[in-house]
Amino acid sequence: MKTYEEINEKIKQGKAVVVTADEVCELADAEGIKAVADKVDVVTTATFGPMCSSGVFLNFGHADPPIKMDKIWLNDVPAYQGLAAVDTYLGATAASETEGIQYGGGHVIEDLLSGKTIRLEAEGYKTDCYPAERVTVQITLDSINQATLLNPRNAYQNYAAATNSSPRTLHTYMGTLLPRLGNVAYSTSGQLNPLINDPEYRTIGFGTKIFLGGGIGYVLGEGTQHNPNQLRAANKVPLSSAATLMLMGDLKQMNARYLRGATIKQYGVSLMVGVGIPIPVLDEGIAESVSIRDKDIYTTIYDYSIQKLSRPTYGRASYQELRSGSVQINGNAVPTNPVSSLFMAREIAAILKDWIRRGEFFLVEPIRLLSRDTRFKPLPQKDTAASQKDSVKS
Amino acid sequence: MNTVTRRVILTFPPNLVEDTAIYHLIKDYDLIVNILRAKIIPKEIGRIVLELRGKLDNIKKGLSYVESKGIEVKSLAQDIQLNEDKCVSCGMCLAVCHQKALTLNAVTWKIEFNRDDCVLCEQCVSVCPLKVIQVSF
Ligand code: SF4
Ligand code: SF4
Repeated sequence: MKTYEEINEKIKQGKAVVVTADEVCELADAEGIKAVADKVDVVTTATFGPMCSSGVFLNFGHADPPIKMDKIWLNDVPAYQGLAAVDTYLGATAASETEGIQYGGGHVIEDLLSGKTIRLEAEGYKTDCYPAERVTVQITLDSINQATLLNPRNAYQNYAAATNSSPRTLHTYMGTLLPRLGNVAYSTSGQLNPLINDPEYRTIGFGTKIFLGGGIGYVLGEGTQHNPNQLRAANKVPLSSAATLMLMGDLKQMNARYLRGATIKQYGVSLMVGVGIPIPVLDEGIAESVSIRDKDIYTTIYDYSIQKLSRPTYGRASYQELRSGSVQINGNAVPTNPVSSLFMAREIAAILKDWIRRGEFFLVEPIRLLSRDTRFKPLPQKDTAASQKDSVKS
Repeated sequence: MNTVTRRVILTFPPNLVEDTAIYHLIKDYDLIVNILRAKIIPKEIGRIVLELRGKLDNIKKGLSYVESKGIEVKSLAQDIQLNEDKCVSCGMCLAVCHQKALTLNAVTWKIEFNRDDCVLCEQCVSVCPLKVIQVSF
């Protein structure tokens, strides 16, 4: 048994043993779980891929004469206006009013971070405090007061894989799905995925300090659509999309390599986000979960051509099978492709490991762990007035 | 008349993939034909990237002959460029690259582009979410 304090003391002295979630699997194979529990202090996990539920809170500072911004655009991308006079939230998926989904919130975030100048246009209504009705200025990340990345749902614990049985090509948030089971797209980083390494949320929670977008961030708690009740395998790893995280960090100290505006063909704008989470190996139970390998992590393959909430499935596949380049469906080998980057996830896990080893990054013990009993509900079916009308018709 | 060089892409509809058009370009129009890339699978759409050398007049006549047979001719002064510094190796482009010109290295998980297998179908260009694949002229 180790405590956060003991591990942080070791980090301070430069004695902490830190390995990535890939490396810990090799150690477990070679020396067993007990050796992992004894030797390893921290395991670094990571993921990098499109995470639509992302965005940034901005405070622009006041204009002279002041304006209460009631309509806001950043490079023609609309931002939310229902906050105080010069505060806004820019969502990653908001599309440009002039260029459509070719440019959007995700791109504005990346451009801000790359030091580019962004055109801010705002309209307001006259009040005694705020006489100005219109402003157009150029802003940069340095010129504004705050830029806080706040992502309501990131870092899914596992995610369903997608295929398409219909005769037509589908363009989805899982990328292109070719007709007649032409491919299977999958998205998590498997054995490197943060919440898969902490399947029962024993270490990740409100306050956990993380790598976010190349800088420091924090876990605020469960993300939206958090679904801890997902069906699980015997090793406790969920068999499809399960828990999620809400993340926050100061954009000003992030790095544009790890936050990338993306346009998913015929689907929309998104933001590729790099997340790295350290997991303290407090006991043998945690040593066991961080040592779970791709071959023992399964996800469910759903048919995206059925546009219903409960889609038919084509069974399950392990990440080892998915990574092999093809999976068997109905006796045929169907090619697979990822939609998130293992290459970048590995890079992030290695960077976080390096930060901790060099004594630049300490672990924060969460003040509240993630909920394990939240129910995940669909939208209620039709409103009562509408269903009454329907029943009259029929 | 001087000898000139032109690069073209011929797209064969499935019923014509076993056609003899190239033979006629050489024989009847006196052209030197260099096949730069080819992907032909019986009963599927086939693509051939050709370099033609000969008299301009013969190239033009030869290509209209090819077109008259129902084979699509596109002039080619372009190439696929992958910006490796900006690519994140997400793998989304793999779904549409039937030629497997784009692959993920199974050890490094970094994307690799093999120009020799590319038939310039341009499917990957609009699929790449970061727009790091471009057609250069
Ligand atoms: S889709 Fe674009 S960013 Fe992703 S691997 Fe292909 S070229 Fe790279
Ligand atoms: S253009 Fe793109 S998709 Fe088409 S063969 Fe070349 S690399 Fe593959």
